[in-house]
Amino acid sequence: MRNLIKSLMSTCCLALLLIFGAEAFTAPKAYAQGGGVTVKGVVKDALGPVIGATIVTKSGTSGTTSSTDGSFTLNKVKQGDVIVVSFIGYETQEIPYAGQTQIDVTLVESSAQMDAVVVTALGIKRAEKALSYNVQQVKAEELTAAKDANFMNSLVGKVAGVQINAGANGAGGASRVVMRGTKSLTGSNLALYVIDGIPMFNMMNTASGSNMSDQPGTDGVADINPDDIESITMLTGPSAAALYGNAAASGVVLITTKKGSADKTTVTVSNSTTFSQVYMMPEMQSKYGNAAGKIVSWGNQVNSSYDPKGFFNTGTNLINTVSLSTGTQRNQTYLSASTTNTTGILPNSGYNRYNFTARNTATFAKEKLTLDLGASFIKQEDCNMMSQGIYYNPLPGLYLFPRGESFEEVQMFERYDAALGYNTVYWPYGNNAVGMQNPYWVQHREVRENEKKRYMANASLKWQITDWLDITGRVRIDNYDNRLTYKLAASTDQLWASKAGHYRDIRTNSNSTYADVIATVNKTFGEDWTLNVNLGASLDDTKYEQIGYNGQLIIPNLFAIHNLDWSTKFKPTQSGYHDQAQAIFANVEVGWKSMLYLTLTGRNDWESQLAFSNYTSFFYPSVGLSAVLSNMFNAPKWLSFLKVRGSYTEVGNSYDRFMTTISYPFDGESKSWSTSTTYPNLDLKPERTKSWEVGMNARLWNHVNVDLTYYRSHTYNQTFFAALPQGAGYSSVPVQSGDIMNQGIEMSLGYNNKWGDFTFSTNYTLTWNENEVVTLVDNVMNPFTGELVDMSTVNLDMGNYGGLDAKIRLEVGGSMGDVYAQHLLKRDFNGYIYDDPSGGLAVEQKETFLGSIFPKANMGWNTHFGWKGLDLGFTVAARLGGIVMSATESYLDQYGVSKRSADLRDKGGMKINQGTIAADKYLSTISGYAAYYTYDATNVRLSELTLNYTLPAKWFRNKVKMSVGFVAKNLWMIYCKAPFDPEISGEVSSNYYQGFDSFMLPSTRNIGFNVKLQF
Amino acid sequence: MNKILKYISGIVLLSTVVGCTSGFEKFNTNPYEPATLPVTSFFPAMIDCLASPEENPCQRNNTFWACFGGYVTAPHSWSRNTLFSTYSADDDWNKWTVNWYYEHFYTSWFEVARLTENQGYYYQMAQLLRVYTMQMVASLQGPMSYSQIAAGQFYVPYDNEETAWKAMFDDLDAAIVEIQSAVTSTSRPLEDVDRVYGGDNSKWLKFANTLKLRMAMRISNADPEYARQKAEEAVAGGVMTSTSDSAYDLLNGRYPNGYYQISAGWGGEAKANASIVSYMNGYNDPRREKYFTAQTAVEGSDPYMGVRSGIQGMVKNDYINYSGLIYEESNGKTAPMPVMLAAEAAFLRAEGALKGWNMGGTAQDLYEQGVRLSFEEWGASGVDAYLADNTSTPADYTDAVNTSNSIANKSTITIAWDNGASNEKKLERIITQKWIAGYPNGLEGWSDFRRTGYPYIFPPKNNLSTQGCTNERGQRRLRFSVDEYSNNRANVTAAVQMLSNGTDSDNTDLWWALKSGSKY
Repeated sequence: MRNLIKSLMSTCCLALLLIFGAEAFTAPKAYAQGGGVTVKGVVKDALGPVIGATIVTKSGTSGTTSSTDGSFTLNKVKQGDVIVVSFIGYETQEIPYAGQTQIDVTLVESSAQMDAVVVTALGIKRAEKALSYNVQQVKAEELTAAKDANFMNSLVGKVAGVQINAGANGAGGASRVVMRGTKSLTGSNLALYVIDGIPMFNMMNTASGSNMSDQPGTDGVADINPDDIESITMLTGPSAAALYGNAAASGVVLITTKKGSADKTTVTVSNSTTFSQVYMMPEMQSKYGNAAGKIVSWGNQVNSSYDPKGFFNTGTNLINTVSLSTGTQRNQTYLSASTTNTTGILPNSGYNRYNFTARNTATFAKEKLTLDLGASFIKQEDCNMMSQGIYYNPLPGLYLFPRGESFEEVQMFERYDAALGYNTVYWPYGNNAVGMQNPYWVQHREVRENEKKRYMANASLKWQITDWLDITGRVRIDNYDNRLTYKLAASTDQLWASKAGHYRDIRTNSNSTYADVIATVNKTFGEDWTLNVNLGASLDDTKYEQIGYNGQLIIPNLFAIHNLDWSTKFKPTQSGYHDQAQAIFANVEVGWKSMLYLTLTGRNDWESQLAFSNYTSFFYPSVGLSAVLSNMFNAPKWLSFLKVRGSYTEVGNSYDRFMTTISYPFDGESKSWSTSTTYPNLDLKPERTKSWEVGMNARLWNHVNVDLTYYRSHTYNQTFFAALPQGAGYSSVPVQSGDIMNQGIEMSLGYNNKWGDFTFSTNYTLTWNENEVVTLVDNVMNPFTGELVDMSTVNLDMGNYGGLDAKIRLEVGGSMGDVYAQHLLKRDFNGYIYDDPSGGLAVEQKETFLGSIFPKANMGWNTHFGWKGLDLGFTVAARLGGIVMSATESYLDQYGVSKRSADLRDKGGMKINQGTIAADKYLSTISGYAAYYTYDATNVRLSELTLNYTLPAKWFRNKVKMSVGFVAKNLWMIYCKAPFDPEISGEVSSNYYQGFDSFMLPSTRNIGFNVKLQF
Repeated sequence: MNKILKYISGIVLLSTVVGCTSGFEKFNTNPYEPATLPVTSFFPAMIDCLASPEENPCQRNNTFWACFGGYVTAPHSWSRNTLFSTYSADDDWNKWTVNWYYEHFYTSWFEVARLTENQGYYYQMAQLLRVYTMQMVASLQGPMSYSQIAAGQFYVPYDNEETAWKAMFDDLDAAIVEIQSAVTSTSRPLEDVDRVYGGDNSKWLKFANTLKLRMAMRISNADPEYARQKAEEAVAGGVMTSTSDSAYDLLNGRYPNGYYQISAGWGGEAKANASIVSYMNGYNDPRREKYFTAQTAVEGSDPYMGVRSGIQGMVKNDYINYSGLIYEESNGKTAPMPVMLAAEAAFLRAEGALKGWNMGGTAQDLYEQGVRLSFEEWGASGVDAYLADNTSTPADYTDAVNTSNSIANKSTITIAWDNGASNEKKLERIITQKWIAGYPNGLEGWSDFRRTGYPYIFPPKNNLSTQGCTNERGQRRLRFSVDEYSNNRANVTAAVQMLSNGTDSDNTDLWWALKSGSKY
């Protein structure tokens, strides 16, 4: 079957090419009359070749388009002809022909842009009007004006259809980027990153979505130096999947990096320095202390001066970059080096990164061959990155500290123990099962570090076979090497260490190789028809290996593998995999009169994850249509441009590796092979997403942009780990069923204009997404007996939140983010809260729907004012709807350290019905119950404010271009009812552990400046 | 044209070369996990179910609801106020233990059943472990999925209690026959994986008969004649008689001692229960120093002070200096965890003798033998004086720090055997000493309390039951796992009707329990 499909595909490709080949021989006949000479040339813009530019003689006798390297050959040109070179978005140029044999044209971007040019899937610039799906481009300035150690955070509020949540773990942490809603129950819903047309393997240093999880770290995306980025294109829909495979079903962030420039040498030096300070900390009290011998601060008034805020430092973020761009017409080089050094708001925490990039682009063999070589080396290290939870977190101890005690004693976090001969922790208060530890000890003596080295190299060779056909072969390798160490000093709480300490040393490496070969046909037939075909085959191979040790020490504070106590709590770990995906794909775009475009794509994937299953490969198609209505009729003058588009896409997605065979996992805890609690189901089929979108792009009065897209997707064959009854002896069985629907609107509305020295641009984006569980488990087959089983009542708890009684539960008609609480205060028959005369206030088990962790809508408003060299920009970001929950607030109440607990005490208690209930009684009754710690997540903020001034070049005799700037992020929270920043994520990789604060690191406000010098 | 064709065929060729998927099966096979394992490798996980040594199941199975046995207090109100000790465990807490036993046991048991085709020594040893595990489940919740469990059967009906217990006796008898024949051979097929007896089948035979005796006594109120028959068979077959017969999970480095982990490791999440400490304080029991750590909370007070169970909102650090389980000490880290001790067999026989069963001895002899075995087991001295003490009575509980936790002891039972006492007094005496000797097996203590009404276990300070659990009778069972109502609804609904009052409540009496309205 596999071979059949493959040979069918090959035959199809062959047939397709043959047809075009034949066409190619007949087509030139159109110009075969009238004589004249052949003129060659190259069309470029400031950045390099322009592909698909139209080159015609004004008399209309001859015409062609520029090929993928910008070159063209125009036949039958006569003396006196005027050669017209045009391309959407650029000023049209007219060149009188006076016998030149080579005409090189450099196009200048049109000031009144009629239609944008975007970088699309293959890294090729295309006229946006041909695209049948929504693309949004972000310029490099948006990333570098207010630099973030993770550049994705700079895009908040600037792109429609995307939800970006920064990781709570501070500078350099991974971010959660979800486009058009979560689609897969068990798969990752994170966007795919594509660098210069090649998908990136994103190694994430994640944790589990739990409050007793290790701390998450950074990811492969955050490694990228924002200064190396030329532009970013966001493909929020699954339309790029035909070219990048199923990982693109969740949307793509397409990154185009900088190349060297021709005939110009530029050195750019830039510095960005920002300072971050904690903001939106929980509100606490220090008025009431603890009773002697008690941990909770429900004792007498002490009016302590204790302020937990004093623990936090001012974080610093320093980013320095130097880059060199140089070259000739045939050979361009780009070099850059960048350092990112940050210190976190927690003592002894930080993130450092060093990026080195080199790129060379050369054309040779009569400009038939273009070789593009690139290499990057990244060294990244982080120390004590902390996100949330009660493990390795200084905040439980800091926040819950008994207010009647002396914090100065705690600040001297270690004391010399003469008997032991080393310093031991000072913390007489215990962990109380909420991870309470001496906060200074956590930061200084429980040191968790990562050290990563990453090498990337890429090469691409393009062979321009004829003016309309080229073949490009590309290969990219991306290797990571990470070492993670945990060193917990002797006397650390024994929840995590033995008396002598704890050591963990885990090395991870991954090698990913991507290679493809793509043939591109770019042809014009007559004056009306254009054809763009990409045919390709790709190989994506990823190897991942992890090996390490985790255990307790014998000799105190000697952090060495040989010093691990192998007899107890010793966990060796070794895991690894090798995934390979092979694909052939085709993308055919037919254009008519530059106003109607039809795009068809198809892709067949062979994935190693499917081995041993009944499926060897899967095929998925897409079709799209785009019509430039404003070209079709005599549009009124105010309607500068109007395009409507629609597309339908299907994407297959294989399930996880190793799911089709049975093997016995190693249990590190017991050091033995164990049996899986998942019932083996080897009859699995690939997940499938079917989606369509319609949209329009319009430009009114030349200054107003309107982009509107409506989309809808259904994801079928969801893999559920359906719970089994106890008597089945297994806790779950993977079954495939169900349908998750996402529908939504992406809108952007922009205005830009220029009046003399004054420029103004503003852009508003709106994202509305609705997620709905259409069907769940139905018609499931028992893999053992083959009979259909009714699982309609199966419990689909997808996750719960430690510290509160909330759960995510899937229900038909609900969403993937629906949260239910399990308890409520007991009420009497009249519905009043029941204060039992004997038992007092009590809670009872009662499931209650709290809301969804998904926003209803996100909005962004990004505005720039320019006057001469001055640019003032600001971004307002808003999120509407959804809920967040806070276990932190619950703990603060339970321990009597919340501000609310002091206020209630001041007031004499909580008024309930006609009576008053003592504050401690009331708060300790409700604490732990999510119904009382759920908040509206709606918030509006001034997320970014930038002021940049480009100093007049004449001050430097035009030799130097210098700009200085002031930046501020998270400057002003305009509206927020939640007690913490609802937009930060405790664990970015989890589909369910979102919108939840369990001693999460507070959000920060960043203020700083930047300087950029260009020679 | 030819040139173009050449390129095209080049591409097609390339894609074919690329399209070589012969390595896929190798790629999709986990290189670090075996695809098959020998049958013996499934025994360690099944043995885990005897004593629950791993820290998480140890906490859940040995300290949470196990506080009802009066040995252990879990002195903390985690984030929610749902505690077993206050009779107010919510569904999530309630379901954990039974879910764990099923999941942890049966994934391995199915492998053994498959590899042995349900016969032979390995299978019967797995059956013995299965009966041990499932009699705990039956003692916790009553009706359960047992006799109809089979590979690939997702929706297993529940057996009513009588059916389940008798099916377990049948399975146990079949296992005893197999083990008996294995005793004659000296080979020890499970030597490498057996953390209890190192594969010694003569010990396993005594273990199986002692288990049978325990089970017989459990159902002795419900089906006295059947119980007598099974108990006499067990004694005749040979139960434990010496401390060398006692069953411990020796751990052998598989896990550290779970009690150690949760008390020393996690910072005082298990403490000695006020009930047993008060009894032993009253008796001036020499085993106290073997069972408990000394309290350091109050100077000049009794050296041993347990923690009252069932205090709403308690924070563990407030009780960190009270007496803990002995495993809290640093050598507790590798200390074996008791499963079933020889003393229990003697006390079971004493109770049987009191009922007039043929137990191979008098009630007095067997009672005193039980106390002696227990002293020997723990290396305590002074057993003769102890057995002769006819004046000491259980002490009241005095919490010298948080005085409102203090409570008076209702029991006045003394230690020395009194042949003239009523059978009821004799029963209380036997069960009281059986209970002290049974430390720290919470389920046995709780089961005997529910079956006989002895010993007197202090009620929770805050009884927050919403289901009518009283301070006198305590909680009577665990509810069925809430997951069953969504995943196996029809069968669990039918099982509710099998309960004595047709209500799936904490307060429903099991088949064999002392019914409401009788003594207490």
